[in-house]
Amino acid sequence: MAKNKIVVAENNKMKQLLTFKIAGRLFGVDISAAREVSPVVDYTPVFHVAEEIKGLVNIRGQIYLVLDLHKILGYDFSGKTEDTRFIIFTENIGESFGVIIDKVGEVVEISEKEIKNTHAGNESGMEDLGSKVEALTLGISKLENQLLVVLNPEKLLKNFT
Amino acid sequence: MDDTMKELLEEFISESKEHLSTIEDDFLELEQQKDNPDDKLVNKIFRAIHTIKGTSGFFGLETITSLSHTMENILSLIRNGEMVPTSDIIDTLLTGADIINTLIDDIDHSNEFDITDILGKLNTILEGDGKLSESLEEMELEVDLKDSKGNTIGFKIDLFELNSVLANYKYLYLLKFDLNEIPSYGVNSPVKLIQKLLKNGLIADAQTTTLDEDLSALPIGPLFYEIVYATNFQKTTISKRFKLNDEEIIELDQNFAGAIPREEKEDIIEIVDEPISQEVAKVEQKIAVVKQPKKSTKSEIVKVDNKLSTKVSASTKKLSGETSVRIQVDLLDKLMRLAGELVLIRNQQVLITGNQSSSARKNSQRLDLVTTELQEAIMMTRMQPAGNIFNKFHRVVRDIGKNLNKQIEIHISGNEVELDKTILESLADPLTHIIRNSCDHGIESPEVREAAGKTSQGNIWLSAFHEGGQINIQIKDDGKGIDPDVIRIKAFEKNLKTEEELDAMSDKEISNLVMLAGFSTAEQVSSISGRGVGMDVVREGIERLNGSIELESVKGEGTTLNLRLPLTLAIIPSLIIRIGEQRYAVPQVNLEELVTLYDDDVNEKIERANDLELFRLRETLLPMVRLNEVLLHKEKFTAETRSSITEKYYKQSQNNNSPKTLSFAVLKVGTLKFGLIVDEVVGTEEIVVKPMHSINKSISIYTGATIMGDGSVALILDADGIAKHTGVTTELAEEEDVALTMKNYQHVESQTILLFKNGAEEQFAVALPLIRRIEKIRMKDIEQIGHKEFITVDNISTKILRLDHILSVSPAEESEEAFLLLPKHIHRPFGILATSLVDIENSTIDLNTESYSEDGLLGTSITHDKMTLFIDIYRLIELSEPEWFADRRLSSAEHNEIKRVLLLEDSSFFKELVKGYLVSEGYEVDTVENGLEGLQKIQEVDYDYDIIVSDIEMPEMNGIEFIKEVRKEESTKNTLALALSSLGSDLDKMKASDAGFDRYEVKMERELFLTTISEMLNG
Repeated sequence: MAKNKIVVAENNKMKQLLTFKIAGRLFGVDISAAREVSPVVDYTPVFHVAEEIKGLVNIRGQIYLVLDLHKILGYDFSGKTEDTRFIIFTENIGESFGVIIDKVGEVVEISEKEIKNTHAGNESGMEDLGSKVEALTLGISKLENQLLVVLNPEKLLKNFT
Repeated sequence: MDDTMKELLEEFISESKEHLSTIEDDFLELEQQKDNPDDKLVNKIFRAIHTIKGTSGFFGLETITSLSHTMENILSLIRNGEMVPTSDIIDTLLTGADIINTLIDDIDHSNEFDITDILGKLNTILEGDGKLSESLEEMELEVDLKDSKGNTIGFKIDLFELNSVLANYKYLYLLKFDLNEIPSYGVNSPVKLIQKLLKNGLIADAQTTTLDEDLSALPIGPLFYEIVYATNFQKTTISKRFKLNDEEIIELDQNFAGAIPREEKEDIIEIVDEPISQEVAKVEQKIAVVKQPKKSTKSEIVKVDNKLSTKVSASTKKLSGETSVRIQVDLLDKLMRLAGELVLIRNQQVLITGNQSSSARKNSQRLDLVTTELQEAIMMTRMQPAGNIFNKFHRVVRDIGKNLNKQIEIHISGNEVELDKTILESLADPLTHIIRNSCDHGIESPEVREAAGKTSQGNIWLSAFHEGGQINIQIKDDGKGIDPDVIRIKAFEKNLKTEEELDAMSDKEISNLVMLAGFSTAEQVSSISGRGVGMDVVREGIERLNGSIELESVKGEGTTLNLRLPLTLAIIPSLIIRIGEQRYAVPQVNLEELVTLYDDDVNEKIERANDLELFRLRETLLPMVRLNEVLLHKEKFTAETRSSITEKYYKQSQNNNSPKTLSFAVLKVGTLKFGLIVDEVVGTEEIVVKPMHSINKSISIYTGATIMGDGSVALILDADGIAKHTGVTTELAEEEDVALTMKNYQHVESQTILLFKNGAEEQFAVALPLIRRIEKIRMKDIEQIGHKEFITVDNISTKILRLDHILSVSPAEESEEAFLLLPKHIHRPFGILATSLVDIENSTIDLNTESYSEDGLLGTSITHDKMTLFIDIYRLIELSEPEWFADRRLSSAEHNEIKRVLLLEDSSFFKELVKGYLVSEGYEVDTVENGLEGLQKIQEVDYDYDIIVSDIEMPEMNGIEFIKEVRKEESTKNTLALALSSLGSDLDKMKASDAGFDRYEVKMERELFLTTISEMLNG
């Protein structure tokens, strides 16, 4: 009985993903990893830190580290607009940190098997992610009209430690 | 483990810790009393150990129970006067207490701990006593408890235990609870039941019984939990409280006849040729004797407790009128954090309402006040008396003394001085180290001491006291002190300093070298410590707490260490500075003073040597660090980095591209001072320190982050880190520095100053001789006439000047009373309002005018580690009441031509004061510090001075010699010269006049001085 259950879960486990745009491309993270999407995007730059760290920001009395996700993924940040947001991750993902994104998208629900391992090859025109980015992703999922790169936020902070 | 059980266990741990913490001192005191141990003291120790034994038994902590039981046995012998607490016995008992402490620290594994060794030692003491004492017998006797009808109830408890229990409780019951029916007793779990029982009395013993014969299955019938319960409540009360019926409460007979020796009972039957009945009879007699006095000691014990409760508030559990509660440290930390948040909100609020309506401002002022008070109150909750760690040292000193065969006594004072918990905890190690050092290397052996004419007993004084918002801790010994020559040689051998450097250093500076990293030497290491070994670690430890340490030692007389520590680490006053768009905070402990250079000085005053920029600040050469460059260079500076930066700004100054002003903060780290060049000095603020994100912890230039009033994040700079990052060390600037220091400081005038406050923020200062009187006034007595405020002092209506009306400083704090400073040398009734007086101090003031300056201020200085604004009293009056000065102003304004004055004055305070007088009158003033410089200046400048104003007492060349030289020169033969001195005798005036001065005035008399100048210039 128990065995059957596990099999079902493996095949059909649904994942809710919070999607967002970085340099026009769609990315997503497990919604349970995100603690909050904040409109506060004015951070204090910090010198002497790794170049992927933008600085520090105060959200209701708590100081968060702002990671430069654009740089980490190999894109250029084109400057903040009214859509720019700061996604803060939960403490389970890493110590008080978040990333600046260009625009927050909707929450999509996809089954885990829909998330294709990027190592599986370039089937159906999936683009080639750099190996550095690949290390940060859980996989790629094909939505109706575009591709969604699912990130593993836990890897983000560990990147520099 | 059940949560409630865990809670109970935690309570046991903290309670036992409390007992153990006091027990050590008590043992030591007991040792002092030797043959006449104080009953109360013994009882107190006994009770503490007994409580630990009793409670640990409840938790099944067998090892602790058995150890405390044995210790208890020894203590009871001492209590009964059957054993004298010799030093050796106390030693063993102390070791026992230490082991209990260790066991409690690791309570989960305590039962695995091997205590055979200590048990053996304790038993040796017990046995060594020879005869079996009464109490010991009691311990060995078991009582078969009986109900009032004389029927046994199946409980056997040792007599001693029973007697101790009954010394505190009146009644003894057997209670029966059916564990299957727990809710019917008004509680919802067995643990709750036990808690409730413990609140009302003491469980002497307990067991569970079931009526079922067959125990292979779970009992179906009632499962009885039987306890022997001692309490002061009557049967009916207990019955009501626990909803027990008559059969479930059985009153027990307190006449314990029938006690039989415990383990030895068989032995006795075999070996002792004595019938048991006789043995019993003997015991019975003893009980009759013992029981009476026990009852009477009860009141004494309570009394002891009462006395104790004032010291150890947490142990007042059983006493009525509790004044303290236990609070989880986590909760306090959270409160502290929240208070921090509130401070931030307060700061934001104050910022927002700054320019709004008065009602909004009033409200925000109140928020400000309440927040400050709240913050202080919460801070207080984290405060713990220094005694918590100080008292340990009695033991430390005793043990070391014994070990080294030295007689050392430690005198402790200031136990009640409170410090933040975190600081206190981090202080334990450095202090232990220092005290061990004193014992080991400071205090000599009795023979050596006597030979040196000292008492054979060495002394160490440990004291704590508050001063200037900081905690001072002093450790002083009367030992042999530090021989500077030995240190000199060591420092030289270790290549820490060159011979020249060492020659230039004072003995005090030499002594302080022991705290230099790398000073420790192998041959100094002993089993206890090595003086110098790890002193650098001590220093680092103290500095990490934002504190400072200073060592003074006189060879042959002793060593004194002074530690200065902040009250708390969580909220610190700091200076806010700006670089580009970003603000940074510099902790005020590192801040010495602020300097701003203007115009040409920006290019000219910054000198260059090797790869460094330097600034000559009075007597010292200050290496300069540009913060913007520090931030831009992530890698540690190399000589190349430094020279390229120096080159860059040199070119800038050559091309006249330098900014109009240059501000820098003089920072101090240990003995190193350097100037940190910033774009702007924003102001001072109390900031809440937040730790750095762990990813950035390795960055040396920051210590943390904080949130500013506007909600943005600012980083807190680490002065030490910046010094290390840029490679600015003492050596770079030291050589010249030492030489300069030796030459100067020979003639520095000290000045009595009054420190006071008006608003919440700033500290002001004024030279006390300028104040005629300080009058205490009531705010409600102030009368308003138009915009002006008056108060009647000595029947004279006196005008009140509020500093915040003239200077841009925070408004006066609301209070019922205030002070009015009435200045001298002013002919109209006039007073300056001060809400509180801080201190009167006699000090040499390093007045700094280049930094924050405003009309009405003489300059700033750091006093009591706070930036202090020195007010120019007369200028303030002038700004407030310009018409009063109209007369003289007219006469000086007649001459449109600007008059040039050369001012010779060595004291920076007077220099600025007098210069201020002159500048405010529209004179052009050049200042020099002595006669030689004066002559040089006259040569240098391409204009003639209209008048020379000179001090008499000056280094290098005094005023008399100077004027003689001046009069020899053709060009200055007739230049007007005014002598200005603090000396005022006729003889001095004669001397001055003979030497060539035209007039003579005494310092401080502003009006007179300016009138004289005006008269002289107008012929």
